[in-house]
Amino acid sequence: MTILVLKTIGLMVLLGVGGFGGIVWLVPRLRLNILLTVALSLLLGIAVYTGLAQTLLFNESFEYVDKLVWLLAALGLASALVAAYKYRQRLAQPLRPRVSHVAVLALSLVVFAPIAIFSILYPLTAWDAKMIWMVKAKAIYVEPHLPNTLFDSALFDSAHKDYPLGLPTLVASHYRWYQGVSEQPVALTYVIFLWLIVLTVTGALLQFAGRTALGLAAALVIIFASGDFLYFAGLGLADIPLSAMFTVSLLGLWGALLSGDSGRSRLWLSLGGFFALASAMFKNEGAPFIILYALAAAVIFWFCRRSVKGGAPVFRVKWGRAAAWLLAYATVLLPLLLWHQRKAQLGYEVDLFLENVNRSVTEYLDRTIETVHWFIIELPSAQNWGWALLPAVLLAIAGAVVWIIRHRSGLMLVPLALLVGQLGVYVVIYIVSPHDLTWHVTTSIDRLLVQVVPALYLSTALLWLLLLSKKSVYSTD
Amino acid sequence: MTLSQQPEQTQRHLLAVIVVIIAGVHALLFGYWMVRTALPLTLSQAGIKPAQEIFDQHDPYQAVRSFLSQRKKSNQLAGLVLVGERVSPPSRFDLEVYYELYPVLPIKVARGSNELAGLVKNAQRHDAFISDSVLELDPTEFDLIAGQDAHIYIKR
Repeated sequence: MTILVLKTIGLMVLLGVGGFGGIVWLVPRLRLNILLTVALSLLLGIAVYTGLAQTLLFNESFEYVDKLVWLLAALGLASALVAAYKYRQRLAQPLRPRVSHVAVLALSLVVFAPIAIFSILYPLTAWDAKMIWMVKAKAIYVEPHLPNTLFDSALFDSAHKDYPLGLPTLVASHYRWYQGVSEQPVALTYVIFLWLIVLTVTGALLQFAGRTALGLAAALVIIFASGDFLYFAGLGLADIPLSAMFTVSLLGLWGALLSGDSGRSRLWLSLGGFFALASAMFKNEGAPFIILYALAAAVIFWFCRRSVKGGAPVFRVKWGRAAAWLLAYATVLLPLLLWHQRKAQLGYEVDLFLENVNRSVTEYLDRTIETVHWFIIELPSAQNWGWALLPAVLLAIAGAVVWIIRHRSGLMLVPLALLVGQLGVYVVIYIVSPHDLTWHVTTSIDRLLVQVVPALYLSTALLWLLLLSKKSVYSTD
Repeated sequence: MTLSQQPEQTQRHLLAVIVVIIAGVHALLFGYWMVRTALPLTLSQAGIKPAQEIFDQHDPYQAVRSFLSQRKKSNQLAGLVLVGERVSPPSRFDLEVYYELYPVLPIKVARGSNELAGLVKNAQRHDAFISDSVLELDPTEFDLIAGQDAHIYIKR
């Protein structure tokens, strides 16, 4: 087991190096601090690797997935060396660790180390983890291609064959890395996803609000280590990786709003857009999120373009950079398109809407009221959210009202509006679902909320830090 | 006075109090989880406390898992019989065992009382049974490993 855990750490380090090769070019322009650099590098590395691994799977070349790890790491290292040579001081300055960064990083490691150890030792018990995600990982490991005869076995009857293959492919690539099937050490990767959410949220607070946010950042580390986050951390569900992608996308919107420069705004929006696309590799909820993100990004792009003076010309395109972004986007877009093509070929339909349900308007209205009722009941849950969700929601509403009264503008509320839109999609799915509503909601509501709550905490915290601070632009602290 | 007109200092203090209370509750929850669950599991893995008890507490299929993993390693799965009523959707028991065995499935699934009676009558033809209920097998021929929700019988 120890060797497999070390192999998992090695895999993550190599993917982190690969991702750093891309993020390093953004560090000087976006002045990313060390926490955000670590989080974004690893998430970028994992997302690109997952996308390319799926592309290999769909092209019957999955056996090259081990070599892909080394290739990404080598390219990342080469890219980092070139960037270091080119930027030198401009790179060293933002990455220089401050006391606040080191303190938050140390606290997160102290808190997450026992969670990681526990998750590795804890048996895999979550139903969805086994019967939706892990079983597909086994199938991909044993038969590394699609169509996969194992997908036609009885075990897959309740496995939602239409769900994206991002997580199963990532886990199957772990198995190839281990040279055998072992679920327990993979739990470390799931916990790392949650740890990266924490680094993203705390790193963003310190980036945009400076040392004044240190107390809040420390509190958030603790808040993320209890309730449903603690429970879901190592379970092997796709919701935490999806949540990580959503959180970084929201960071992209906030970065664009707070950067005070149209050139940097575009960079932030492009970065967030990449992770919005990547989210659809992990779960179907990523698809509506892409649309909502595109709308939010368009609004921010339009208004930031008009409000910022002296920024770079909006439509001046640097072809080298554009090509790099296109390449990055292609790594996650291509597997998405290939998967949709394969799904259509193999007849894997969305089973949530398979049954033809005839309901009256009154029934739909009843289901709507009941769904909203379930969401309201969930808010004060001590077991799932440790009484943090209700205050966060109330603070978000109060912050939005105060902001509109004070500034007569809703631009800073676009990230929160995106989250409301995403929750609206979940409500609609519950309403049209053919399943018994109580069963459907009670078995999934906390997992759906886990997807958006980190982004909600981030957005609420940033909104209030802005409200309470006179400084509302980019901080390099 | 509206909220927006209140002194910023007051708002800061109010928010700080909210954050401290919430973080305090979470620190207590985290501490409770550490002492109650994480630490005992870690100690059991280090051999300081018996592991089986803690694993069974969280995972009723642990006995099935360890049995199947041993069998898989030694390629002794050929004579295994899974006894469980397979319905739609499949029972938790069936799927748990299927998942553990998957994708190696050289198992026979017994459904219904007649089939089960036939299997028990000719039990000596099989190496092992995994069942979600107690089977009336000759204890001189089969050892019983009783899990919490599963019963494993292995030929002596």
